Amino acid sequence: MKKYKVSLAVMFVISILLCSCGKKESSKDAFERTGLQDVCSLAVLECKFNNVAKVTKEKGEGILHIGEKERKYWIEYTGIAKIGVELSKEPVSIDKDDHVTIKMTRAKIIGELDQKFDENSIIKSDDSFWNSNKITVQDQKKAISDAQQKMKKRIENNETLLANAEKRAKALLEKYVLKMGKIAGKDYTVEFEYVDE
Amino acid sequence: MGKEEKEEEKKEHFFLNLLKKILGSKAGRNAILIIVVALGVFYCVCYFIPQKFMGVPNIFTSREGKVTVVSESQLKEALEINEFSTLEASYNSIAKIYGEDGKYYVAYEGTVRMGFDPEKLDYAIDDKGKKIKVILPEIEVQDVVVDQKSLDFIDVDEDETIIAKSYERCKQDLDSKVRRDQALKDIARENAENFICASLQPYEEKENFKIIIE
Repeated sequence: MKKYKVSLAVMFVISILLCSCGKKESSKDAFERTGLQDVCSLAVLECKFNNVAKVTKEKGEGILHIGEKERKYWIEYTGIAKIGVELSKEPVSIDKDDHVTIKMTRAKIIGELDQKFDENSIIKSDDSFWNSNKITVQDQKKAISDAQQKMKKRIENNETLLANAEKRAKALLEKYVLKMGKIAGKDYTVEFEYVDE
Repeated sequence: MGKEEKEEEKKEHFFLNLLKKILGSKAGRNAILIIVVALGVFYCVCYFIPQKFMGVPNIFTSREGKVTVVSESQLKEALEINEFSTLEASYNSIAKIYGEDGKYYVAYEGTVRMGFDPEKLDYAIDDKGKKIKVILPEIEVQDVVVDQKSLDFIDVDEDETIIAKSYERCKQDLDSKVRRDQALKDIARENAENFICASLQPYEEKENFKIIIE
């Protein structure tokens, strides 16, 4: 009776293991598109920033944190942002006097901010021998996010950079219009009208 | 056989008999009462007395160290590019990464932008038929960005360089998966064609041209 119960239990465990093997395989290949958006943007400048995020983590309080020490953690990485303009869905209009008006936004950051890491560019202070005060994944994420936000503000406040991007975008769009004019045998003049997003 | 059966019975009832002995004696009952009261006091101290009481920290509570972040950002270079984007797509995925200590998994969210280089747009004109053929260049993957805040790890020791180690691998993973998504390229191309039609429509109307996109 005892041997029968043991063999039943073993068979039950084996069947559970066999079922769960299949489930793991399907979760490994998960690739799901969660959103799709039509855009109409022209990126003309790719800016690379040297970012340094410095984290200071104090030692914790309470019985579980006895023996900890303060930690410092510096991460140096390249922040990347693209600058350009967005065009409206019907970007071009031509009047009877061959004046072409192109509707676009002011120069701004196009798309998401990117980053490029080098794991050798991480400097950290030694941890305590008695009790670890680890720089957690959440701490690392916060540091990088903070540095990215700072980079974004720098770009938005850099009028020279934005003006250069706008000038370049205008030159490219004007070239496109004048090319069409040449094909049509016309001498178009180009104006730009700024629109909101 | 009888003796063996009796020994087995004794083993099975060991803890039951022990409990009976403890509850049966006065000292045992007092010991259990003291343990229960001590646990109750400990619970009250941990959860009802504040972190600092009259300036003295409460050592029975536990609080992680405060984290402060100071960051610096300096423009290194600004490169001229020509990227006209017609589609942005967001994804959830899981990357399998082979590290020094074996493989581990990272779940992430990412964004992809697709479009074409406007400098590569070409035109061919047929004066007689008043047709303009616009040759649209191939749709490219222009941007692959992973949201570092979304990184989630499994089967790995989350050390202090884990994000730096994993980020680039997740980007490569997303890039290779997106390049296999033909439907996405088709939608981006359709959007590009729609934009060119919309931007050339005034020419069509004014100059009586017909625009064909290839």
